[in-house]
Amino acid sequence: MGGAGMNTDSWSDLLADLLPGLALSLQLTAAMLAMGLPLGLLMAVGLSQKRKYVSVPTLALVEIGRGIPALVLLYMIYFGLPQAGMSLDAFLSAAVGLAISFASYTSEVFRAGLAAVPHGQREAGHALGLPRTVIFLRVLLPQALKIIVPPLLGWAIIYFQATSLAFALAVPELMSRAYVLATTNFQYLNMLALAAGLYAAISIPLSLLSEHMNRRGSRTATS
Amino acid sequence: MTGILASFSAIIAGLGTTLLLAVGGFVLGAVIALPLAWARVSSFPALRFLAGGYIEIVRGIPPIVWLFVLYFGLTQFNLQLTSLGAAVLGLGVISSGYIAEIYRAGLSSVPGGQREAAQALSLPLTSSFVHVTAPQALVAVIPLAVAYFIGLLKDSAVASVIGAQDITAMALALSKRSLDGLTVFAIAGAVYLIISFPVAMFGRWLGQKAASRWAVRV
Amino acid sequence: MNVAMQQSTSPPTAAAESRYAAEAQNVTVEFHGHKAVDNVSLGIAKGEVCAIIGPSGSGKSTLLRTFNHLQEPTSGQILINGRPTVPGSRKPKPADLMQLRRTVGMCFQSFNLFPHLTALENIMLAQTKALGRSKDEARERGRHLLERVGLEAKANARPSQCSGGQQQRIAIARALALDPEIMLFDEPTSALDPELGAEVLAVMRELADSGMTMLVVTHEMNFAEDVAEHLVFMADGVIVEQGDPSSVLRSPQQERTQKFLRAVNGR
Repeated sequence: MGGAGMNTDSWSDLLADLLPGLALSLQLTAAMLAMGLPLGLLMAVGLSQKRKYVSVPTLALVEIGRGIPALVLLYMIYFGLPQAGMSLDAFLSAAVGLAISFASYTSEVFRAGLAAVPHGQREAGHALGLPRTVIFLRVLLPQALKIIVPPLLGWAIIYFQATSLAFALAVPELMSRAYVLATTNFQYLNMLALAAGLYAAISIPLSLLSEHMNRRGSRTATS
Repeated sequence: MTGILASFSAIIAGLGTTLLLAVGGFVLGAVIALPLAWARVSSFPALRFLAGGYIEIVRGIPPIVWLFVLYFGLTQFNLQLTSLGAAVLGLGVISSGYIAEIYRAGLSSVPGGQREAAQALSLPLTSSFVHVTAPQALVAVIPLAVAYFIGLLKDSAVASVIGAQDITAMALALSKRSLDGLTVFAIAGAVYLIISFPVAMFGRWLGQKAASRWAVRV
Repeated sequence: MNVAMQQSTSPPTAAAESRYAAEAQNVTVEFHGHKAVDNVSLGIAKGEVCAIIGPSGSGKSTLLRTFNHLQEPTSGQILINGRPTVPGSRKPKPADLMQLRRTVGMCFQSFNLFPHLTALENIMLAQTKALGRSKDEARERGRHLLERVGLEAKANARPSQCSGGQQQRIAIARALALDPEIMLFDEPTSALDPELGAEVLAVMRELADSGMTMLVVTHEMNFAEDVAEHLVFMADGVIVEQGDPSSVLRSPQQERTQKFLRAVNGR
């Protein structure tokens, strides 16, 4: 493909140039998940509270997090927070912005998973005199995880791809690196296709895995 | 206060482009998705495999990369799309993959007995699809499609990165002039939230209308 | 009853062509190597009501569904009025299938009415789209058929607004609208409680009295005894026993039949 008549570097050279970008994309994904997963769980707990003064503000937060484009969240944190006297570097801004967006979407996954655990399990925990946190962490959460993990993996894949938005903050992740290199060697299509291939090489197997788990999950659920 | 109003009117100038991106991308995707969904449920394994592969690839590559491939990548073939054209095309390609799966979900929500009954009544395939399968599938498709459109409305923000003058682009430009990024982007975020709201309402109304028109339990 | 006795003893001949409205010849249906129907031959005379009984998994529904090719036989053939449904080649053409299904109507266990259409629209759809009748003609015919099954008041009701028994009667009217020569019934009352089942059976009885050729897979032993002229007991994909309903039901010859009837009668 492409590059006809052009003096092209070999594909392996181009690929080697892109790999540091991929490494940074994966680091960004890890940082995003490290913040986003606990936050999503926290939001889910907030959503399922009977006390309105907890559940309603949480719901508002979730709706805002889902209603604003992730890119706008990134800009808001990177360009906006300095005015509030807080300044995060580009990488951290991207990680925090994506984590908020990720948590808002996955809070519903966590909530539905927790709600699917039979009520008797919580009662059994209380009957045994277990503390609430122990009931939550050792009884409810492990059972909910079976339902939660496949859709969560789906969201993680989407947000791995969304790390490419950090390009807009000039974080030198995979997308930025492909573009910056392309502006020097003018092989736009080759560089971008290679980056696309790297994203796909990670996303597609994982999304097939998620679908597989989903199918297996729904089969055991019905049998 | 006047500052906020001025910012608001500056940002709202990008609303038309945002709507054009989302509607254009959605319509293009909804059309491309038709043959795609058909291939996805075809009885030919090769067609199913090709359509499945297309859908996986479309969804396996970030939107921003698609837009860059179309906007910058095609220049390698001396093909220069406008930023708006590349963005609508890119969003259309991406949404085709998702909407095809929505169509498929709608089709599989129709019980197999319905198609069998149509066959047993010697209905021609096209009548069976148009009068039996499609109206029932539509009831399942509408809420999913509306939810996807609202998602696309927000995803269209990436078009600003290749120069489309949408809400996000207006906010970014304004933030560089006004030095109050927080307010500017909060307003932009609010605009996205506000425009999603009537779409969601319309979607709920349309879904209920379809469900009652076709009296299918949903 | 003579018909049944002869059928079981003598192989189908050219002379049989005129006698059988529908006939299965050496029909086998395989699913993943398992023979759901195993080399079954069965003839239904013109105007005859033939009931098939048997335990679940006996292949009775699968056999029934081969008669209108909703289930493609793995081998063997179906004859309607003495003519094979698939002339020559193995794979039926869509046009052949459409022609076949106009001649052979069918009712399902779960009714399969179109939920988005009214009762009358359900009955009109195939008339206009498959037979090419005008809307007025189809509506006229639809109203007449609804009257016949006692549901003229439900013409504009959706299936969800009708009881199960009413839905099945609408489904019968829908199938009759194509003026079939043969009607297939796949456990038409199994999804209904006895009271609603009875109103469906009454319609079927009336249909039988009018001379319709019917093949009925059923669990209703009373219906089989009273209405059917020919009773078939199937198990494990084969016909174990067949003949006059009263004699099969009251003095079954085969041990497998006896065992089944004991279980059904709760003794």
